[in-house]
Amino acid sequence: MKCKEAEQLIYLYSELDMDEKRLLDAHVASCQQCGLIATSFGLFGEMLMKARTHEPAPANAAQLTSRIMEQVHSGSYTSRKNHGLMLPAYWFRVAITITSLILAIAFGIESSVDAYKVSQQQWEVSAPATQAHPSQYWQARTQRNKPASLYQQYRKGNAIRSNETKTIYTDEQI
Amino acid sequence: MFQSDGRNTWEIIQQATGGDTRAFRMLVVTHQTFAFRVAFRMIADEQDAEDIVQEVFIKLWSNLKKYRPENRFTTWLYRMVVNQCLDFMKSRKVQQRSRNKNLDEMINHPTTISPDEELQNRELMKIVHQAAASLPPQQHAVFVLRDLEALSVDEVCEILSMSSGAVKSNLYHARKTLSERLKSVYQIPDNKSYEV
Repeated sequence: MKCKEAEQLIYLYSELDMDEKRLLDAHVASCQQCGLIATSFGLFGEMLMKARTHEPAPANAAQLTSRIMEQVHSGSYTSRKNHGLMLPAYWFRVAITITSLILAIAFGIESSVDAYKVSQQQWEVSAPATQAHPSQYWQARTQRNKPASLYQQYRKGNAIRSNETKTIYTDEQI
Repeated sequence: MFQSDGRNTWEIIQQATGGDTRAFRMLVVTHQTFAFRVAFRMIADEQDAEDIVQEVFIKLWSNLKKYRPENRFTTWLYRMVVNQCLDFMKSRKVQQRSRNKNLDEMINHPTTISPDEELQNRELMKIVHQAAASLPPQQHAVFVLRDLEALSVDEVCEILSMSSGAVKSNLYHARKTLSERLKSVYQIPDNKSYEV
């Protein structure tokens, strides 16, 4: 038996069968290094035996029983499971998250629609009749049959607006 | 009497399953100390162990129908307590560091313990539990069940749903780590009291 294998078996001595124990004992008796490990582990085992004799117990067993039975009598757990009167915490959180997402999406859509309507109204008031609304351009880009005409219309409108702006701020007029 | 596993425990469970809270109270009274002992050996904190026992029995109350008499009730309860403890340990990884620090202080700053044997053993138990709390959860659970609860390897396999090889491997690493970590505690002359 090699020392590496012996070391592993020393820590599992109580799990070995008789043959394995005999082989290990023979090695430990002839190897000083493994003998030291075995002695040390033996002391550790003795310490565990002593530590095990002290059995921890609840400070106040009657109080612990009362606390458990109070919860049992309140029926919070059984009602959750059997009658579905209360949602378990996990599903409650899931429900809250989904509701929040739906509200956020609905609010977002409503705001976008309002903003679109306002911008379209402003455009209709301020832009020349020849010019298309930018949203129409993007709508047209997705419809492959008529992107060019609307795009040109959009560019043309922009050019008109640009010229108008330029004429407003020429030095001659100022 | 309803004291241990067997027919009587099964009768109480049947009564409790039917909604009899007095029968369930009997189960709690009979097994709460056992559940606390296992929880304390896993968690090394009295308050946390009591909370775990409470949660385990509340779960037990709502899961009694799942119990099958062909399994030992204590094995079932062991599994519930250990799983609850493992869940708890996952959630307190941050606190673990401070516990390790406390253990180092206990080992490295010696204070002589009372010569009274009971007190010595209580202190030893405290040190062992604190040291074991620094092990990875699976090693910790195997060590507690095999070396502190003195269950057989087969029982540990059943409770933790592990193979025999996995149990032995975890046990080897746990014992090696703890025996090296606690060397300064257990390697003392026989005629002196423990110094920790």
